[in-house]
Amino acid sequence: MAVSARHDRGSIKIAPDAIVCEECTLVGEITIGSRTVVHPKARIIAEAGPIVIGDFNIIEELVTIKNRNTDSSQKAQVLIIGNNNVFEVGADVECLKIGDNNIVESRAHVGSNVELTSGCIIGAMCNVSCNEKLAENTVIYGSNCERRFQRDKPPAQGLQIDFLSKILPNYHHLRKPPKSQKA
Amino acid sequence: MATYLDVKLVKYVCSCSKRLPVCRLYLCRHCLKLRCSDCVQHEVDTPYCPNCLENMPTSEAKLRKNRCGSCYDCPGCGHTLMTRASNLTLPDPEDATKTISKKMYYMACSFCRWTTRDVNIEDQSVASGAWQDQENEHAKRINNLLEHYRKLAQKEKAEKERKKYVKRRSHMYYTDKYGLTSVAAARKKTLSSISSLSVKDNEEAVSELEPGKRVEDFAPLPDDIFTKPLELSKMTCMEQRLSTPEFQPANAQKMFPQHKHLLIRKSLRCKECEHNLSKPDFNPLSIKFKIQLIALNHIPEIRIGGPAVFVPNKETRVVLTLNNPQTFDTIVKLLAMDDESGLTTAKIELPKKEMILAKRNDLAGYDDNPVKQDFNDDPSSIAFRNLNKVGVIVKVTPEVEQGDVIVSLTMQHEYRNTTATVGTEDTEPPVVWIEQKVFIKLGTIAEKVK
Amino acid sequence: MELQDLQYAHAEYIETASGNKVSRQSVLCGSQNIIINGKTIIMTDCMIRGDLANVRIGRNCVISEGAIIRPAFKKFSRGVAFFPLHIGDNVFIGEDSVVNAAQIGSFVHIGKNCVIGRRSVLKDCCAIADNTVLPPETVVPPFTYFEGSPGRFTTELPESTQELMINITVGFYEHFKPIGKPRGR
Repeated sequence: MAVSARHDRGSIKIAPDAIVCEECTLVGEITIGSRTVVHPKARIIAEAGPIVIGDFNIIEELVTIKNRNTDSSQKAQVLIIGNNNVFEVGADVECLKIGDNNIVESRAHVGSNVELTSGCIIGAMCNVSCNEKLAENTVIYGSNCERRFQRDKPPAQGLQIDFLSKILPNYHHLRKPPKSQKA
Repeated sequence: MATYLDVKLVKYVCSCSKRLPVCRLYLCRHCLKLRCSDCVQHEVDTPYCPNCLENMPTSEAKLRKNRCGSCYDCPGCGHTLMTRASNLTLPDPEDATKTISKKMYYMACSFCRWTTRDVNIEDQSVASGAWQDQENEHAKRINNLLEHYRKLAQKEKAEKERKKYVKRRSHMYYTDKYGLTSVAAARKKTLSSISSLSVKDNEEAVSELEPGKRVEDFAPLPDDIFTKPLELSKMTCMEQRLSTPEFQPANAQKMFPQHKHLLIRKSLRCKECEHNLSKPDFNPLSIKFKIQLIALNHIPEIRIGGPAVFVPNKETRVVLTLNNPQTFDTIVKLLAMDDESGLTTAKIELPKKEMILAKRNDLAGYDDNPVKQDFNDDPSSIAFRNLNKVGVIVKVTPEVEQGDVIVSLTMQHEYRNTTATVGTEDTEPPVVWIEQKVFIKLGTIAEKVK
Repeated sequence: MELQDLQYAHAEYIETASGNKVSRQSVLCGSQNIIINGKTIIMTDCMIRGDLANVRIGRNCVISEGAIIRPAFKKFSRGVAFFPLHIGDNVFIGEDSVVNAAQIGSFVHIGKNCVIGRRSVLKDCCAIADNTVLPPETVVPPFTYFEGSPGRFTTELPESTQELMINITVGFYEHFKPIGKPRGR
């Protein structure tokens, strides 16, 4: 329990009603939107450029979201994550554009050249790293990363966010946005 | 453990001369021989569904083609489908201006997200039991064929029975394809003499079967078959097609939920003495056994004490551990074995003296002051003692230049024969000596340092 | 092969009165909701989410490095609830596995790098191969071995599974020794 969050260079903006546990690692220029929940031990690292996370996202423990510059000749880009996304335990995300209502399941890896549109599900332990834009409602699953399209978007996790927002402050210290931002 | 420890290093020779790890072997206490799953009779005890864990009698399972009536597998990935509820708003039949909400159920796969709605199967108003099964267009023909072959097999069986008397058994065999044992047994009750048997046989004359028709011609392939681009997301893959051999849908729109296959609880029977070697509890959830004669509970287990480095033609000291599972002190002798299989690649020098293995004491772990053991051990052959375990020093000389170092030995040990005293209490069961042949793969010869 | 000694730096682990050995580098969230029954080893970088729901772990379990024990949630018509997670005795959980199960029986072996889906039920005496993904709500019956992605029944376990699992987990605890030296296998 001794590891405390790394306080860091760069500015971190956290919406007042977001739940960001103290015990996670935030490095660089990061914006976290309203009602987003960041579990302890998650790592968000804005190494090559800023990271912007939208509203109603769940980022579980040991998730790594990293803005990593693969091509040094290019200008630093912003990693943008939309709304209502879920990143399950141990997911590893480097892709620069994530739309809405996506689920990245446990221990899945999404490379930096991929773009998630919306309603996509990257199954547990699947690895996607080709240079491509995944069509809406794509499901990637199984040991061979098979694909199909689902009919409906995965449902929003509003109820889970409500529950977590209630329970996490009882057990964890939260990161509060700096006072200057609250106004 | 079978999935954790490397149990394949030490192999015991079964009475059928297969070499297997000790955890896969059984000891028949009537024959006093090792048995493995390949040389015993497997009997189906209870078929059960691996998802809802409901068990059913074998006859019912057979009727349902060994599939569960209420659990379904996803046709896309094979995972179990979950029933999901959704609220449907309908206009109120009494008052057209109002709406009522009704719960409707559909099935969805939580792995690949396939749903019954994907293939336009209508939602059901009850959570389970209402799903219609697909109709096989060849069902009638298959039933005709089955009936025909069943009659043939029955006739064959009756003819065989005339020659020899077969004991009636209460269990269905694994191999009993057409469910004949019970049929034959039922017939035997009604038919007392051979003469009546033959009369009945004539009555049940095997009906002529309509021969299969040859397909004369096919519709030609469509012209665009080679030019039309494939839509992979709408096609099924080989595995998906073969999971339903009777339909083999080529189009993903034709995929249908599949009833889940049952698993079985089985008991094992020694083929020689027909005593049970393993009989699990009736309940598929229970891990208890009514009879469980696994070798691990009766035979000293040999393990390799630790890794060792081997050099060709050079003697290496290796510690083997012997673990006594029996509840009395056991004398063990290790002897050289004449290996006829040619697997042995190293010479082994074993302790000449016999040794005593301390008895197993399950409570030893809770005892604060363990009883001092004193067996007057020869320190040149016994490395250590720990409860019912003893470390034996052996010297191994590899006889090959490279590859695996495999030694073989014979272990003679005491065994308390509990079957001899059935009915007579008080007397100690007599001790018998049994002998096991063991092959041990100790490691590989070290690569020469250049 | 006998289990070899696994040595750890004495200062790295806390040993409780009931014989639990818990790494200081592990994260136990909501520790008032976590019950560990004794002689259980929780290794470095493990995470147990007692803050979400109660977690009960039996005797003589081994939770290997980097494993995550996390109660699973279920959505109901109003609100979600996290299910308490019960783990039986003599359970071995391999390195870096994510366990989201609702229940794990006794004498269970979960391999390395597994993902055990939400609300899965693992009955007594079963085993999960390394790198398996068990989808949500999978039921694993006794004496079965599941592997693959999605995890499927592939083979049966021997009748001696219970004895073997006791042997392994008790042996592992005995060979898990404190020492000043860096640990080696």
